[in-house]
Amino acid sequence: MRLLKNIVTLTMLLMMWASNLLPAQGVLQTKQVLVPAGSFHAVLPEVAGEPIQVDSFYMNETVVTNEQFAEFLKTNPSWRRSEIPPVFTNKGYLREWKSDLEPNYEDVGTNRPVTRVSWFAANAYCDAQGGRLPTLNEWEYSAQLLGITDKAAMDKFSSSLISWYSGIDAQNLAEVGTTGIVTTKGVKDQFGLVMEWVEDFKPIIADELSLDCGTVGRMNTLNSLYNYAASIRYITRMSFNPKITTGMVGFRCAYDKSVDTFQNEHGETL
Amino acid sequence: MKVSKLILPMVFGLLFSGLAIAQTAEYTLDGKIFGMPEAEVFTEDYDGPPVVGEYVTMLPNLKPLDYEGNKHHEVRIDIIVQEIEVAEGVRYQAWTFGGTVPGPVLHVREGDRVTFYMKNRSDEEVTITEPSKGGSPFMKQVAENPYQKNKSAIMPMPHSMDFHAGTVAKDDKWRTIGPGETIKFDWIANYPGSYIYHCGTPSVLMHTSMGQHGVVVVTPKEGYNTGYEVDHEYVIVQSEYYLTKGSGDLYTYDFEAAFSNNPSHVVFNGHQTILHDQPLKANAGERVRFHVSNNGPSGTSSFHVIGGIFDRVWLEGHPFNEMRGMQTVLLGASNSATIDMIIPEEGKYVLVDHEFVDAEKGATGTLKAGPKKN
Amino acid sequence: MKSLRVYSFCLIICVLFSQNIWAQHEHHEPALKASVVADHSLYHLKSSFTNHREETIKFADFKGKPVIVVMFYGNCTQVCPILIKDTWRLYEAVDESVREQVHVLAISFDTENDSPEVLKEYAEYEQLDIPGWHFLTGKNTDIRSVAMMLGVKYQQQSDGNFAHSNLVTVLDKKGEISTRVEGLNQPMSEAAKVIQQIISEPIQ
Repeated sequence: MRLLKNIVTLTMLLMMWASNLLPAQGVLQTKQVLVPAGSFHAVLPEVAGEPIQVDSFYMNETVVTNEQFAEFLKTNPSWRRSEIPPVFTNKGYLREWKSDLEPNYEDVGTNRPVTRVSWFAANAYCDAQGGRLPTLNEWEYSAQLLGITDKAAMDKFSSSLISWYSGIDAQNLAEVGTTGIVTTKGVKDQFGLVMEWVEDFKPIIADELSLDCGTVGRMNTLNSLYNYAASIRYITRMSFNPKITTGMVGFRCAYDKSVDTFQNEHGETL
Repeated sequence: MKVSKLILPMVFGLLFSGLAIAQTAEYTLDGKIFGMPEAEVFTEDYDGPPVVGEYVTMLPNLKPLDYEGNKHHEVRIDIIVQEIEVAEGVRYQAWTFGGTVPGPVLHVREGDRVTFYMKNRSDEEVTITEPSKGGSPFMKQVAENPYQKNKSAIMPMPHSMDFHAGTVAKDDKWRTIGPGETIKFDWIANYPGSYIYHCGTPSVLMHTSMGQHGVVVVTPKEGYNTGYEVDHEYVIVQSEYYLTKGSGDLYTYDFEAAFSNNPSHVVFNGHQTILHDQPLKANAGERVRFHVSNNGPSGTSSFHVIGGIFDRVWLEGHPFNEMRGMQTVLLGASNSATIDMIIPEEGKYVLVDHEFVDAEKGATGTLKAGPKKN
Repeated sequence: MKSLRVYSFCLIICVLFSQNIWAQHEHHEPALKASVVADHSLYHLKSSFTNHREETIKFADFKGKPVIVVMFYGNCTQVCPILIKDTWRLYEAVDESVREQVHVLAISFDTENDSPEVLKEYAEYEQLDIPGWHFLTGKNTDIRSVAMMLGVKYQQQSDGNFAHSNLVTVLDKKGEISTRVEGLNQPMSEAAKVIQQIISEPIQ
């Protein structure tokens, strides 16, 4: 009897210890949205005039927040501001945070997008969640699933998007999920909140384009204001290098399959 | 260590130089020098004054060239975001070179070499209204001119520099850099005249409308051969704003207005009333030289001074392009002219863009003439 | 007596439990601080890759030795064979007496198709299944990280092929990028000299 009680106590204590090894669960997990396979006409097509095919994938409903990133840093110390090596970022990394693990909630608010993270940090975060960054085509494909069929309405949306690109207030970002811009699949804030890292933000074609006025001409199809806005977005994104951090670049993660809460990337269940 | 001295610059050079671009070695043709070294793009923590250079001033001032022959200038003009005033009650967060719209005026002589540094500080707060050490005359002039009361702001975006006065390959020297990056390159002022500089990152319409433009004045090697001395020299830049009221107190870029060529303001030297509130000065009987540039981005200017006639006009500021006795000079977007005028008598003269829709949107200024000095 | 044993057991478990808490606290972090590895070294990438011999490889394994890195994919019929040949030319240009100190990492961005078995066949076909040469695969996120650190661009097309840039990189003894040769069919004599220099300089 006593032996059984001891074994139970021991097992409970062991489980408590082991649970510290799991990544943070529950409150800090973001819902994963299924983006089904499809195609779209990209401003940088593989073959001129032909749409790009995208396989189905899962993506975070909202971008990664300061709270979530802080949680990741608890178990991944090499990505903290005081530890991260220069090969992975520049001096602006998490510059506004109060310390290695404390975002500045007093100034920026809670539930805000994490910004001033480099591509490497974003990639590491998504990897730790059992996922990855979305590819450029995946992100763009998802973003244009706005369900706006009326051309005038689409132009109006694109026009406000262009204004947003020239007026982002990087010091006053809204809470994630609150822009009101939602795709037909349920992905929120791909516009209007922050710009986002993608896996291949500088595709090979960027070498030929040299980011000049000719690029805008090449990307603009007749009468498409959406493409005009897209060209600004593509050019901005292609001007980055993977170490760069800015106050208006955040990210979200993509997954090849829905990651179960207690399963890590290698399929081990704990 | 000898070897590490070799490796380190190689690492930096190769690590940060990005694309391998075919370099043309320096050569001379027709007395002009071409073939500049490849631009360098790197990241450094520079946080000093955003404008450095002895011959860099704030509009409408021009620093006299107090040297003989040619000089090698070291100039820095960083990109910073500033909340500026465009007209009474109209403020917006501008993308600027050096902190003002238009940006600082650089004065060089035909044949001078410029080594230029530019850091994209659009993600940093930079204050220019306080006196700073090591900055240009520009910094002091801005600090002493409380007119616009610029405030620092942050809006991280990629940017680039295009000096019309430079003759280089654009994919190398005018390339776009991200926030936090610095570009360094050389260019030679091969031709005399007043040349716009502006950000060439697409959309150029947006970037120039947001404020990224300015002027370089290149004085001809032998001057303008007039046989007389000029009493005052001023630089005047015309440009447009496309602004609409934002959700708060500030205005924002109005893309639709820009695309339909319908500016909200057309101004001289960046502000609707600055050239009235701070008029140009001269005296009757004096010769005034105007370096006038139309920076656009999209409009034309029919530049005229009410009450005067332009004694001599050099189109694009080149001594070869001399015209005499013009009432009005037509300037397309990025055209310039160097204009000499005799001030006839004491009183007020008004500078205008004689396309009156532009004038009524703000393209006017004043020159106050005092009595004749004997 | 028994209760004492029970309580000492529980105490031990509690101590182990609390050790874990401490391990998460900032100042009790295990070593390998950034200062041990050079600032811009690729050794900071802690990920494991698998070579065509099914061995686990990390970049830090090559500390003290120069490394040639190239990125390619197996199904690439036009360009990658030239790139691999270029890498071979660089390797060959290093003096025979010190060549065995040089390692070559050929990393495939086609994680779907280029498994270790496929890479073994590829290595044998290219007659490059030799000591010092490693054809590598790994997780997508890690392969992309390597590409980002080197400056290699690649993107998978709809037909499964990859559009990619061409680059041969030399890492020094600290894992930092020493020299890069961009493009195809490039002369390798300068890069070979750099490798010789790396080998001849003492480890700092």
